[in-house]
Amino acid sequence: MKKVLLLRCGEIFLKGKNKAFFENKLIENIKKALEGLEYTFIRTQNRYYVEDYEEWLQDEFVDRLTKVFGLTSLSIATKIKSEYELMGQAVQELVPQGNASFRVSVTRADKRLDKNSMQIAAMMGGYCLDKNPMLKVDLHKPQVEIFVDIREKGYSYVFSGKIPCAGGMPVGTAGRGMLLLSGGFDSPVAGWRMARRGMEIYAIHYHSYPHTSELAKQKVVDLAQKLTKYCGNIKLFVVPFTDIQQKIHQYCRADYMITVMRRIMLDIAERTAVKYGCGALITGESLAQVASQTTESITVTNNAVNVLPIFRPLIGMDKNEIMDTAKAIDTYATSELPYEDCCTVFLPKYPVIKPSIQVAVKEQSRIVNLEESISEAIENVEVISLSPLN
Amino acid sequence: MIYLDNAATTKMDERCVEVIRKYGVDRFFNPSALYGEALKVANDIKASRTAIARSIGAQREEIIFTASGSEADNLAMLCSVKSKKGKVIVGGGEHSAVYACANELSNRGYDVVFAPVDRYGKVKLGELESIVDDQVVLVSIMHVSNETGAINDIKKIAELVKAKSPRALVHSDGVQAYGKLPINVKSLGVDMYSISAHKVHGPKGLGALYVKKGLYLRPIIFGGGQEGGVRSATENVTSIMALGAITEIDSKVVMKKYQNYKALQRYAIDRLTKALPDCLINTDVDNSVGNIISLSLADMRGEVVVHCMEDMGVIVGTGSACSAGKATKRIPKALGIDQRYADGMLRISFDEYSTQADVDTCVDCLVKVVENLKNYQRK
Repeated sequence: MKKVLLLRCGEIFLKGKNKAFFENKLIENIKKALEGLEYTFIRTQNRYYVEDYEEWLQDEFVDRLTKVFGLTSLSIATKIKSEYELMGQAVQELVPQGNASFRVSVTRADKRLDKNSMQIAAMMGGYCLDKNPMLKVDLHKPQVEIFVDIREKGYSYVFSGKIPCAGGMPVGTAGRGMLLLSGGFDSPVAGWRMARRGMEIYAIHYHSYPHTSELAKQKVVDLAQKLTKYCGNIKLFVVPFTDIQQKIHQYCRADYMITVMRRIMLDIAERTAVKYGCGALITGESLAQVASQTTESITVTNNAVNVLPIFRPLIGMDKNEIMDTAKAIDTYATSELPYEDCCTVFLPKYPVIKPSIQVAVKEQSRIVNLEESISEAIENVEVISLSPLN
Repeated sequence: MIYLDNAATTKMDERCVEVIRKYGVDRFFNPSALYGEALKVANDIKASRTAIARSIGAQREEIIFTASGSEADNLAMLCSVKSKKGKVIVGGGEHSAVYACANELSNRGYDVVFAPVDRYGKVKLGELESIVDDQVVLVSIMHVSNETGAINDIKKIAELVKAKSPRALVHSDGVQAYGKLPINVKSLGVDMYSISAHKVHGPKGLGALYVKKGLYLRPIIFGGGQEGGVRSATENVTSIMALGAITEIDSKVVMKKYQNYKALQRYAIDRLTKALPDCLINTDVDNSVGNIISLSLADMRGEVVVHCMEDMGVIVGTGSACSAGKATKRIPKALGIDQRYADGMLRISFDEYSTQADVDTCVDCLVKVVENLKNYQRK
């Protein structure tokens, strides 16, 4: 019997008049995620079906679809003509072993059948008990629930169990954000969380060769590449940061080096974001995690940004939660690689924990020709285009 | 470009290229097949195996070809010991292939003990003697340290181990010794000895394990029964023939190379200590192969120095390339290197074509790099 994938989406059906915008984007993203595979896509009210695919590729379809934001769950269903015997056979395929409790739930859009939903459910329950007489019927808390969805046009879908998908909103429905991507555990998770709210993601990374290696840069490219599985295409901007970092080291007092560096990073990120049509900056900051993520430090770095909002989706999360998400979205192993990112190379022995804006601005102003260095860095940004198919 | 990271890998000898072409294109037959052309290839492999065996004083039947030195180490460590428990002793500065196998043996329930090494990476014989007892079933100590070039006295080690525990097997990782020192496995008294082709201008993807006659290993790969049934797979004909073609059997020639290396090493260490008086030299010039020099720079990261040197056209290493991807301080810790110097380890390693002029350029560049990086030391 033919297998199909039944896709469900959640939040976007709560939308009002602009629902079509969200739905069209979701369908576009589903099709992008399935690029290169052959299948038929069927759109019905509140549900989508992926059909006519090679069954040996089913795991690949499921893997890709569970990463599409906007889908809440999917089921692997059997598609059959709406004939009782065929339904019964499909139901029997899903019958559990042993003395499990079960129920059959029937929804019926096709009113031409001679039995109502309850009667069909009872009949299907009979098929189950024929296959395994040890089963017990439990309509309230069954261990296994088998669904028979009788649609119009003479077809029905039989399935059991739901595979959770990524949830959230379709990427591209909430503007575009510029993610400061360092190579650590946090920033990829931050990007993933904002993409889950519908943001298209661009990323920016600061590269301080020879103080950081080509391997450190490659690690960031690999992380961005992993994010594309969820976020779709990502543009990664690699900023040559050596000159600025050396100047910070030369002109600023040691305890303020990180503060000034982060202010300049945000400044460059904002200018690049504006240039490339991003409406927000995204960072992986989590309150109190390190010296530069105290309330005071965040106040001082925040002050370096003029217009754009800074989204910090991890601000209230603890490290374990972040690590768990990193594992779930497959960025953990890459983030774990030891190549140092630019933040650690010039790490002072005692960074300031409660910096002030006045001192930070003063220290930053001591850097000779900073504006020229920033302009030069932005001018020489390397743009790397990444797609899920790379 | 001056390449001075030959302990990581070497440029392939032109003679290998010709041989690889010959056995890849003209004489590509599977040596296990039954027709005459295949038999010729089988005989050629036999000759190559004989040459490689003789280069370490072994017999042809005692050589098992593997896909790498690491595989040879794995075979020796994981497939040789018959008893299910006992003590395993491993050198404190071993290559990760042996170190990781030791951890695996520990997980399998063996009592694994690491033999301490001295400041230069040589296993301390006195301390080794104190940890060897009649429970020892396996000892693995590298012949030459891949980090510092230190030479371990394998002959003495094998003697003292066998005296206290006659059933113990002795393995030595000879990957960095092969081609750099005259080697005779019989005289060393080891049961197993690993070598690798790509460290001696051979192709990558070929290693070999000497296994003393009478010692039987459990198979690591099952299949058609090649390599005495221990490591089934169609032979890597091209690489085996290539290594055979460049193998030096005459120990006098190897000795001459050793002396040339030593002269260059002494010259380089002299220049380095004069040009960079603050640096630590981790290689004991009186007990090392001549092609490796390990040094440590204070308050600097070896990786950054390597990048700066590369920009100036000189390639040096930070240490074992196999561990460059891991944030490990295992080796500096084993050598007892002060924290200030631990991140700044560099390894300069020659091949037989390296010259004093190469050393001069390298030292000059290093001085410039160090001067520049001093401006960016941690505040």
